[in-house]
Amino acid sequence: MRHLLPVIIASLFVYSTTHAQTLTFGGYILDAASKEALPGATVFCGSTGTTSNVYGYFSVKAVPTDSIRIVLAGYLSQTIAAGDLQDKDGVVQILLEERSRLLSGVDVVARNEKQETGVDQLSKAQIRALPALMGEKDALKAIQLLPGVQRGNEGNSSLFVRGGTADQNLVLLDEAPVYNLNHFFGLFSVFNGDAIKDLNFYKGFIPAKFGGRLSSVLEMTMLDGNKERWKGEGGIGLLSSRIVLQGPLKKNRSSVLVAARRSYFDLLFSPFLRASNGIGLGYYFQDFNLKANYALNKKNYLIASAYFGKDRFRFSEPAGLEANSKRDYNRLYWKNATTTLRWNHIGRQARFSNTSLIFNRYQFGTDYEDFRGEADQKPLSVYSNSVSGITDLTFKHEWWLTLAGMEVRTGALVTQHLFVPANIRYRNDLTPIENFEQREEAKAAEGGVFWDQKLVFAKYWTLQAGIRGNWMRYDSTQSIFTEPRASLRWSKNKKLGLTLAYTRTNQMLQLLSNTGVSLPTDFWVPSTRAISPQQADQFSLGSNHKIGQRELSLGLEIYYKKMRNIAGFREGSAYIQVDNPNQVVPKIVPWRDILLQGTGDSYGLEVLLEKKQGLWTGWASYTWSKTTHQFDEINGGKPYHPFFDRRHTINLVNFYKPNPRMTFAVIWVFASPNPVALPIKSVPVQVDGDIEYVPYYGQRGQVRHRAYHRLDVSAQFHKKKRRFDRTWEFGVYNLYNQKNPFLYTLDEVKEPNGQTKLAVAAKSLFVFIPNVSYNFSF
Amino acid sequence: MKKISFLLLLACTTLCCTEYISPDDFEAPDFPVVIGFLSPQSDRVAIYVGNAAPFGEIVDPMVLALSDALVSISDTLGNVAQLEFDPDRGDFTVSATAFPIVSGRLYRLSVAVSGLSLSAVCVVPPALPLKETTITQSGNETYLQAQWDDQPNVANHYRLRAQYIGTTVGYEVGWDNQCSQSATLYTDEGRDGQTIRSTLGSVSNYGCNGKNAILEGDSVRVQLLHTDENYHRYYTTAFAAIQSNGLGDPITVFTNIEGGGEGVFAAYSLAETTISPK
Repeated sequence: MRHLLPVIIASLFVYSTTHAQTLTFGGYILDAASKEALPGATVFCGSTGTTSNVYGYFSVKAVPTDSIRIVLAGYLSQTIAAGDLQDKDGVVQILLEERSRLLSGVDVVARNEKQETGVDQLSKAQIRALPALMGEKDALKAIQLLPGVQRGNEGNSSLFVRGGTADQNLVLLDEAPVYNLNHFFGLFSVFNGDAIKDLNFYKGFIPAKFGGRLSSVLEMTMLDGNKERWKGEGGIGLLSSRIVLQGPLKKNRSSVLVAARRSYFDLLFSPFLRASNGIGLGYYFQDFNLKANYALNKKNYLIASAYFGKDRFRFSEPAGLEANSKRDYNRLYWKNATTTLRWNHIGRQARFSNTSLIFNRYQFGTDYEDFRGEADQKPLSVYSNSVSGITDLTFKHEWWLTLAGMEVRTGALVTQHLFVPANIRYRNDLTPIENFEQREEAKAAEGGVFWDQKLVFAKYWTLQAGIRGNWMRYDSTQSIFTEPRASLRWSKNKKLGLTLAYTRTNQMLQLLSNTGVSLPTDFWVPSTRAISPQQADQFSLGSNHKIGQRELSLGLEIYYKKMRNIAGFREGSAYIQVDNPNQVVPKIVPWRDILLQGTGDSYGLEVLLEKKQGLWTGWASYTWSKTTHQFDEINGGKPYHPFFDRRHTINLVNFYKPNPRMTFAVIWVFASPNPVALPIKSVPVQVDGDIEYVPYYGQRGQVRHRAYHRLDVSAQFHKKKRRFDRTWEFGVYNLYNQKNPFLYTLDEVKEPNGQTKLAVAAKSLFVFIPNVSYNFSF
Repeated sequence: MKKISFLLLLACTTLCCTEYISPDDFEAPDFPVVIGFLSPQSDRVAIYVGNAAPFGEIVDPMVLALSDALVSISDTLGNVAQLEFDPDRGDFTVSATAFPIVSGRLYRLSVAVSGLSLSAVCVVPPALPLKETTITQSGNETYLQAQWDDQPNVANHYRLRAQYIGTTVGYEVGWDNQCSQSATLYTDEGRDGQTIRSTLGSVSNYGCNGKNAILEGDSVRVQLLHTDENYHRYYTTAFAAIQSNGLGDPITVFTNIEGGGEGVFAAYSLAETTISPK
């Protein structure tokens, strides 16, 4: 990489004479009907192209007689002369017509043309077309269908990307990190598919503007809100419903969007349980997306967006374990909140800047209260409460420029983290002397300065290179890291492309997580004096080949990722304190003692065959991968395969839209068995002369149980009514009822002779789930 | 927090189908397990040799004991003893008079069983006395604490044990306000050569919840075990495995048995005192 820096710097001073007559044109690409900014549109000028950024803005250098062609999946392409882009303010708005509004159902779910290296894009149309699980369109589950992304266990929305753990993915919603992605233990993701406009997923080459995570970046953008007229859409499912309302506050100048979702498991099931045995059991999740934007003028926009999501689980029973208990209450909740305030400004020579102030918080909490006392007395309470979480405040400023014929993106950001691994309270009315409150917190900060540029040279070559300087402060320690990133692409006739990429990343956060099951009890902690930030180097080599009449494209990619200082957890560490079932006094988890540091390797081959046009569209992907971890204090120091290591993964995603009134989708996924921690024997241990038997798991990663596979189907029937459009969707998740284990537990089972014994139980959560939902838009 | 596991798992399992996995689904060949602890204060050397049990089966260790094993122990002075199988106890044994265990000496265990030659070594640490042991009654509660001087310039490991001696049934001693046995294990890391003070122990009746004052005339025997590293690592993992709630990462119980078996061959020296509340 030493040789790369001079190339980047020298390239800044290369100034071709052909640029002497060129002008810089900049503007927004908007949906013609809603004036919604369209990110990811490709703007071709001759054989070279640029892409509109996440705010829908692009800038391009051209001579006035050049033809500019704008292409975006799902929209009619447009070709205009560069001279027509001239505007007295220097900012133009290009309106694209949505194809489905004009034509009969072609191209609805085609994936966009890739112009940025190593990025996968999913549009709202693609997310909508996926089969729903209980009526919900899930963007994260769509990402799990891409090559290189492994699923954890059944139902889990966590992403395991190219050998990385679930905490190595930076998930951004309107620039704000989201730390917990799951509603209902992973059954639903926290993102309302109706409110998401665009999704970019980086897993190979990660541009220098992103930092702080090792393995991937998932960048999601919420809809801005319709600037032309008020619109609404929503859906009523079996277990949850959702609605999105959007419209102009002042036509073509400001708009607002409000989205809400709520499940109603609690309303459906609680009354029956309480009536039958007095047990109070309820669960719900809800979330809200809010967004407002205001155009001060053509060059200045103010945007505010927010997300609030909450899950709440409660359980109560008539009498607790204590003899004099009257009723005890247990509550468990987790919630995400993000807020982004943004100012977009277009300066001279179409220089675009974005300034953001971002706040986000994730909290997980439990409450326990037991009311005790004799029947004729006022009840006394034993109460305990435990909360953990993370809060961030980020300030970011970034520029998009065109310098010496190159697209340049540069900026800086700083984030203050506040980790609260535990904040516990205990109050006992019976023995008030034992009351206490204890809080543990850790502060950390990180900052980044980045420079990223794209240079097209020698006709066929594109170099996207960047460098990021990272500063991290944690546990009274500071570290500075340099992260070079580079992607070199050779492309001929738009039919064949080869890409070689290198990315270095560092990460100072880790998620204390229990094996295999993504629970909200997992919590985030920073690096410590003893545990350095994680670091990864990834090399990848890929090719893209268009076949036939550009209907099919074949992508191949191989990668190797070396990870250092990755976080592991001491064997037997359980972060849920249930040593003693009668213990109501909460304890602070000694997380510093749990953390371990090790290394990891991952390599693999990914194949992606896509059909982008026609009545039949979709993709087939295959991944071969191998991941190994090594920690001195785990598995006796021997390398092992982590639980998300799967050798083969196949995803078949097929959409069929014979006419505008119907859309059919079929998805089949297969993943070869992953390592699971299953006891294969019992071994005796001797404690003070007595022998007890404990489970023996053998070498870690030694046991692989069963391949994962399922088939999902759905049919959507669209109809235009006089005042609104409606879609009935019928689908089945896991059509052939495959029992994919969600969790393995050790259960006590009764033998025919009356004796009990321990047995390994594979729990399958989602088997054959039919779904009906009614969706509408107006 | 007491029902966190229940809440989480209930939520996950409410909609679950359960399928029990047979141990036959996995290749799980038999292997021998050897367990032996040497102490100069013991009246005999005892080594258990048995097969690992099929998972989930309730087994009697005596049934799985491999009585046809050849077990011998030797020290660095050339003393060797062949251990005899004791059918009443289910282990291999030799009396301390026939083969004394001496502090500071290295011992080697050899076991020939099921076509395997297993071996392990350990060094017996010296006994260290308890410096001070206190027992106090406060209201209905009985507390005790111990302290001792660490041996400087060497890595030391300790275990503290205590037993109630009296007429009332059901008293137990817990340390650090919890039932966790691992609270009884100590190292001198970060306090080499210093006086080590134990966590506060309490005497309770029937489990860890209730705390009760013990009766006049009752007493508590406190034992300080100065252990080798094998002992410490074995019990650290064994206690964690016994107490595991199944939600954490799986625990590999430490082994220092070489040659294809599991288990431990470790040593300790013991010092003890008996105290009563005043």
